[in-house]
Amino acid sequence: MTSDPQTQKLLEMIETQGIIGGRFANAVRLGASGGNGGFSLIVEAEDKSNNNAKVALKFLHPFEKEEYRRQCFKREPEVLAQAAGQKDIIQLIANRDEFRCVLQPHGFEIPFAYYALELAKGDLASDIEAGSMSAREILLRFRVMCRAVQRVHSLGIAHRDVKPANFLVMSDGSIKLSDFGTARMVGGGTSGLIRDYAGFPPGDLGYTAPEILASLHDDDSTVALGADIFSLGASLFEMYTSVPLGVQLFDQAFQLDLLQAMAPVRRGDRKRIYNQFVGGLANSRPLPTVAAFSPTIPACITPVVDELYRSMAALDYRFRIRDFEIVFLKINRGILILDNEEKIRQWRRRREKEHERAVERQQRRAASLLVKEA
Amino acid sequence: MILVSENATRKFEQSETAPQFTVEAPRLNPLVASSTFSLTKGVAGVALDSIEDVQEQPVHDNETLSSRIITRSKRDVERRPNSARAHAILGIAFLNAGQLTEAKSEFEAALGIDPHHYVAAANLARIETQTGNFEEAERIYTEIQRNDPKNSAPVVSLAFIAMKRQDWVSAERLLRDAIQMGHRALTARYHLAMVQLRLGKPREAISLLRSVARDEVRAPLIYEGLGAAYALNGDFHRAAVAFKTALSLAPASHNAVRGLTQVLLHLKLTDEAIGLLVDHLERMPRDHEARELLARAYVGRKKYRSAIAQLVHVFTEAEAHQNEAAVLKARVANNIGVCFLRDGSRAQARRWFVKALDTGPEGGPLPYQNLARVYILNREYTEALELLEQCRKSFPDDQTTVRLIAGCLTRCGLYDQAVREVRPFIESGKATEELYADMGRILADGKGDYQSALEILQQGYAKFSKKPAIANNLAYVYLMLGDATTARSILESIVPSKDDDDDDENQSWRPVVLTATWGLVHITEGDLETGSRSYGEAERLALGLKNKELARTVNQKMHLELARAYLRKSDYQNARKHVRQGLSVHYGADNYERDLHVLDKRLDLGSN
Repeated sequence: MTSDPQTQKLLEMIETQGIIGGRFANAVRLGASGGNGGFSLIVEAEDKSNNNAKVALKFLHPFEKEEYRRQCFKREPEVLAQAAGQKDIIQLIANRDEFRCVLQPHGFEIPFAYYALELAKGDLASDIEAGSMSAREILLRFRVMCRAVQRVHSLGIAHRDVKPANFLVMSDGSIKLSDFGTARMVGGGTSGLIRDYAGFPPGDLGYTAPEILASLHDDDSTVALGADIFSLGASLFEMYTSVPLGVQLFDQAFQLDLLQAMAPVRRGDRKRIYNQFVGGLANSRPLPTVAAFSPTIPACITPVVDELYRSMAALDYRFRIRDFEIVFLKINRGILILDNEEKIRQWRRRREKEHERAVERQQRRAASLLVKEA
Repeated sequence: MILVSENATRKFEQSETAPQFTVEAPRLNPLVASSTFSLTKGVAGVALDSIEDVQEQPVHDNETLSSRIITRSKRDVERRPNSARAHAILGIAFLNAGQLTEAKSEFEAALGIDPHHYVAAANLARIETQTGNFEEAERIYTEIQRNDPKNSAPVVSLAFIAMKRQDWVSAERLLRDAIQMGHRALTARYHLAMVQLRLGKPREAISLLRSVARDEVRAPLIYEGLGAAYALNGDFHRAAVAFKTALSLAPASHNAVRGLTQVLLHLKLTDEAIGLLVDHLERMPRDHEARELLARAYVGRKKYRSAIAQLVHVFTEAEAHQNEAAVLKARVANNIGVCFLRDGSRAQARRWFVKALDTGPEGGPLPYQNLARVYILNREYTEALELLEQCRKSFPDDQTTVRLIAGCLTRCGLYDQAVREVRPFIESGKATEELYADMGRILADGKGDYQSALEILQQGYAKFSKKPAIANNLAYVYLMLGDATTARSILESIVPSKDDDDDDENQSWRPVVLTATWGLVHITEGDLETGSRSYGEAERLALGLKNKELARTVNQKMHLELARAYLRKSDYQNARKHVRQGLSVHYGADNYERDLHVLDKRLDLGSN
């Protein structure tokens, strides 16, 4: 990825810092993203206090003006601190700190706020792009993704930006959930960063649940937990089809319907009005089968994947699956079918033959009875 | 009795809010080419047309959901310029925003990187289909099919292209192939049902749609299709149930509301239809078609002012949006004019008909004809004839225009010219039942040439036997020739048509003229009392329709025929009484007045 000269200059300044915070040395911009993380700068460094283990340092872009993003940056280490020690979630190595550098030749000081995280070698979005995952591997990875979100939810946190790009692939091949900037404690711990979303809510629209587009979470913060499950379903759809569900689903007609129903509704009344409207919305927009986008997906697994992603990404949040244990059961069933595909095929063939033989027997019996009667 | 004529029926026509039913195939596979269909029942069967959903639209400046998705997808393309997937996703984002040109170039870029990218190829073919580039679309679909012979989606899409080309046989064959290939093949079965409807096999279509609905119980679009199929097959009760199911699944569905309303109006459940539309318009105030239907429902309830309010709302909204079709505005203005006229406001009606003509002079002959009818009502025959000539220039094959011209000429006493107008259509064999009836009327009542009238009407009766207008006029001519027995048998043979609608104002003249003709039968048979009673009943019926002109004509004709009957009995006193009563009728029919004057003279000569 290319970044502007200003970002390049800032990255150079970080790289020439020597030891950062008395602990992190040899900072080098990350190869995959070029050090540019949207509103942050990311470098890898060696942790002197942990046998020079590689870590990722995430810096807030010093010239970031948007208060919302500054708040997101501030919030992430706070949320990660609560998830410390949790498997499947990226771990915070060092809490938020800051150092200052003088920008030459202008001569003014620039603040560099940062925190350290576990270093990953890539993310799931890149694996989807490469098309390297088999149907079985997708289900195995998806099981880990669901487990990660389940752990986050059990801490009372709604992630609110669940998508393949935020599941990092570690050097040992494991997968961890990251990017908690937009996360929110459900039931009061942390409030929404913006009280009302006049425009669009945070997160990637390719994976955003329709109830979040209708700003229902302003009325009821627990809605965000269900929205995470929608995003997981949308991610599963993308892992099989390479197309983000939201990009396919949220066309102009959808937007018009949503606006017509929700635009004049005041805060406090949104959930009631949305509940009247969402049933029709969901019925008139059946979620497509994954086979429509990916005809090469094994036929034996298609119904299982369709059922799983449709139950998780149901447009009507009231009918969306909530119980992760059921999700795991469905995933395991899919893996079982894939593992035993040949055996199942043989069993089906055997059953069909038995059925044919039974029909033949019945026909012979009927024919002999007719002869006797004659 | 009076003869059926264009003038007597006072037939002001309201334009239909076509198409009759709009249905949409369920998008279970978004990569299959499909569209919204309009189903209209015509004389030749069901017409099936596809309406394109996605139109090329300008990019909005302000941030919308689509533009935000596009921005994000563009960023991905910048990050990975060599990724076919990134280009395909940006293409989908453009396609969903209605930006077809940009979408097309992105899909082409994706295929440039990976020629076998299925999503890009299928979407590119969809765009080519939408933009009418069928050859290119077929080439892409055939290529996809070659790469993956088990995939039924390209076959369904090829069938859709065949449907767009009106090649129903190929479409049917391809859809049957797709059904063989697919697991449940819901989209293929749905499309096949549409083809069956077009091919005049409604039972097969209904059976297919029912099986699709069984497999996908929560898809309102399938129930909408089923409702339309039932309605087109004349089973309105089942159609209502299907549309209600669709509405319970998707309460905001425009198509289901419109479909159910039309069905309820057919079932004469006008109040239920009005309630449904009022609720729907509270939620969707910009649904013009629903508002037009509401106006139609109000007309059914004779609430013309309410209908006008709804139609004026549609017209004002259409005027505010420059891009709205002139045809829509002309249609609405014409319908407002009709409502005003039915409400008794001729001046307002005239204003709206003129507006309809100014807005869309090529929209159709109805505004010309309706304005001409207003002129005829006002006895402004020259203006009416000028306007009808203009109409004839634009719509030369329209027989109603010819009937109106002939009607005008008859009223001016120009019977030979009127006959010259109608004769070419009779001779070409293209004349409608009404035109035969009119020709008979002009020859009989206008020229007094009953033999020629009898020939023409017998010819018409042989072609359109038992049709009320022609049978009535034929019976009348027999009566004028003194043959009451044949006239009676013809009148008794009239069978009410299945399509007859008692509430249809255009057909409301029928009971009036038939009752009057029965009155003449009784008078000719010598039963003057029953005859007078029948005429009186016909007059009351005409007054009930607020058609004073028709009532006066019936009354005048009764006195004329009674005077003739008394004269035949040499009862000069009663004959004279009825002649005077007939002549005292103001604004009756000119020809009856003329005949009364002739009788009056004969009576004067007799008494002297």
